[in-house]
Order: sequence, then C-alpha cells, then structure tokens
Amino acid sequence: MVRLRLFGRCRIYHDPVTPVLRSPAMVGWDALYRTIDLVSPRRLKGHELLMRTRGWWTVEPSDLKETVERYGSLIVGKNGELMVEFEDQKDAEALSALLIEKFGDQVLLAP
Amino acid sequence: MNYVDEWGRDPAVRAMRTVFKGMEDAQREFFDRMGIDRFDIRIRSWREKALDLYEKAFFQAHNSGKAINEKTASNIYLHCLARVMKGEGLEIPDDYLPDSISTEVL
Repeated sequence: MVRLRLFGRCRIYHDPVTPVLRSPAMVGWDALYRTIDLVSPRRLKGHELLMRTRGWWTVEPSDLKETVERYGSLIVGKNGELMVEFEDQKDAEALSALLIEKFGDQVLLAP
Repeated sequence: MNYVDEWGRDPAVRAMRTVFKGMEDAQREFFDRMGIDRFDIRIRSWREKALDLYEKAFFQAHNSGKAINEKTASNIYLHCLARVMKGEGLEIPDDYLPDSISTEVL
C-alpha cells in the first residue's frame, strides 16, 4: 500500500497546500418535540475533506475526484491529512501522470 | 470551473508567488540531482524540519535587517533542507547547493 498526500495550489499564492482535519466535526441533534443531548464526533471521509478545498484551490475538487479515484482511494490519514491510497507505486505514478495531463501542475501528489 | 486570478494584481502577492515558485523549483532540481524519488517517504519529514529551520532563519535575518529577496529565500530554504538531510546521514556535494549565503543566518 502506498499513501500520498494530495496537494492543490492556493488560489492566492499558488503554492502547494493540502487540507488537514485538525479535529472531528462535533455533530449534535435538535428535535421538534424533545431535547437530545447526544453529541458525536464525526471524522470526515476522504472525498468529504476534498470537497472542503473548494474556493481554496485553483482547481474545482469535484473535477478532481473522479480522476483520483481511477487509480486510488481518497482517505483521511491518521493525522487528518487528505491522502490517496494506492495498491502500489505503479498506480501512484499513473495517477501523477494523469493529473499532469488534466490539470497541469495545479494538483500534485507528495509524501 | 475556470480559475480567475483575483489576486494577481497585488505586488505583494506576486512577490510571494515568486518566492514560493523559487523554493519549489530549487527543491525539485535538488532532489533530481540527488536522485531522490519524488514519492520517497523521507521527504515529508525533511520538508517539515527544513520549514521549521527556514522560518527561524528568515525571522532572524529579518530582525537583523538583512535584505531577503526571492532568490535569497530559496537559497536559504535549500541550505536548510540540506542541513536536515545531512543530519540524517546523507552526503550532499557542496556544488549541489547555491553559493552566497551567509551561514550566520542559519
């Protein structure tokens, strides 16, 4: 298994940036006819974290998702990083080449 | 989505873009010369430590009134990266690194 972080380019400074989930979302409940005191921490899934880059990256994340998932799986790493998991290095190389073809240097994979 | 560059007219933003591009290009060329695969897992730790060192060096240089331009910034960063890698046992030929950097900055 190979895991690499997925970077896009900051809309302002054009340097490679990647989102990091610093803490899980705390989801509670409201109900019409009762009070619910339950609050559950909920980690985002990989594709959910990717979508949070909208407006921050120069590329549209929904354009990217399908491309990435042809060769790997979007995951959130143990430290909250947006990562792509591959079966092997070959798939990582293949996706890297496809990202260049479709997005130029605006999206990159890195350790 | 077509990206519209709303920030490109700001000279400060353009300057920072030049700095970051310089650092990125310098690092890529350096890793290529060193024969380090761009997916090498050690790179992450090197970059994080180099960034920490770079920010301290940049802060110190700024406070002592040393002028830092786009070229100097990428040179400092490269030297920080090399220092980290040497600290982990890698041998780096001197001619792989840019000249003209004040070692007192580091």
